[in-house]
Amino acid sequence: MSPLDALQPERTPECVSDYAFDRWLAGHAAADQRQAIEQHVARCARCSARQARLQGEREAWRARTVPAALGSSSKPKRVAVPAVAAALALAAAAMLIVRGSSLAPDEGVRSKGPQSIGFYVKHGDAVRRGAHGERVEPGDALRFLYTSEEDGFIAVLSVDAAQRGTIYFPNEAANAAAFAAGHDVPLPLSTVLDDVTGPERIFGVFCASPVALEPLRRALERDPTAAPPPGCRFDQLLIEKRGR
Amino acid sequence: MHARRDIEALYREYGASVYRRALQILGNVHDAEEAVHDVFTKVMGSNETFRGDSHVMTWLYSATTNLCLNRLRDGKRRAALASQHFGPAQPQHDPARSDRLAMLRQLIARMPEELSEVAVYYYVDEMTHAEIAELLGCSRRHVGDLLERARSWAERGAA
Repeated sequence: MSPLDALQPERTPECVSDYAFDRWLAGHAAADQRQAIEQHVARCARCSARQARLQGEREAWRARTVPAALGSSSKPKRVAVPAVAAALALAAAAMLIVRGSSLAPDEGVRSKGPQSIGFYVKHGDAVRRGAHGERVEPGDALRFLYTSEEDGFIAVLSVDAAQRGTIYFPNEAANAAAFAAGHDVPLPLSTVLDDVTGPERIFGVFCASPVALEPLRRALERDPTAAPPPGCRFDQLLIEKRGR
Repeated sequence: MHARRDIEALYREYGASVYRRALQILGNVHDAEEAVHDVFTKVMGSNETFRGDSHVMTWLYSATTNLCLNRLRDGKRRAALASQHFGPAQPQHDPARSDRLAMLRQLIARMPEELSEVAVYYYVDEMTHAEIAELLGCSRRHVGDLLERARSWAERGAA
């Protein structure tokens, strides 16, 4: 059996591909193609939702400022990402776990409820279970787990020592991702830590609905002690990344 | 060469598609932003004459795919991808799309070039054989052959 067998397209043969949607939205589809797409979208919930999403992304993109560096050989300098796209971000960025003296007195105790997050740390070839207060190094990778007695929607965000907010999970999505109840269930992506050092707060966000993540990221960036959105609760970890 | 005004118009019209596909292929927003920049810089330096017809979409799909595949094949990036799955095994259920894309990135970073492009179109973009054939300028049968070769390659590589 080939590993690619597990990667078969999710859409049915009748559904509209993103390529066809792109051509349609750009006005490149021929009349018969346009008609076929419109008829299918009218009766297919999956394609109707996909069309709305692509159209929204397209409109958000058109509203953004064209980078001055466009057409030059210099790379963009962390161009401001439109709201739709920014929420898709899973940072390849930094993160590490703190312990001991870097923590403020009220940060040494972690409150734990019916829903919690945990993580594994991969350092070189060694993998260990991390804990609140874990110390990590640049280049380590973290993989998060969750425990919850009920189904819901989850996200993992962080605020680092420089007050920069990051959405670690889910990747490529604007909203919290659906999850099923379970114990120590690993999330499907991990994060490779960059070389930014210092303490970092990790927020496991458990919600009853698929909350938008970009407003939450901005709120935590402004105030890491901010209350969770209505219908959500936080489980927090503190980590510290230290140089080798 | 294209005037900056032309590039800006192309960027506004097609940038969202290029960005979305770069994000799906590369898996992170910063690499995707750089890919968008590189794709439109490439347009600037090309001698292609876009007439506002479907050719520009086809060209951008192909350019984005090839540029992102080159980035995936980069050694440093490959090292980062290799560490994406560790810790406890994933529960046995149909993996989420983000999980499947992460698996696919690891495969296509090592896949022969002639197979990786068609793999992106089929498994990432979820295009039909007819659409892939249109983009590659080949027959649907050849697309099927390439996909079967990609499947066999992944099977051998996973053994």
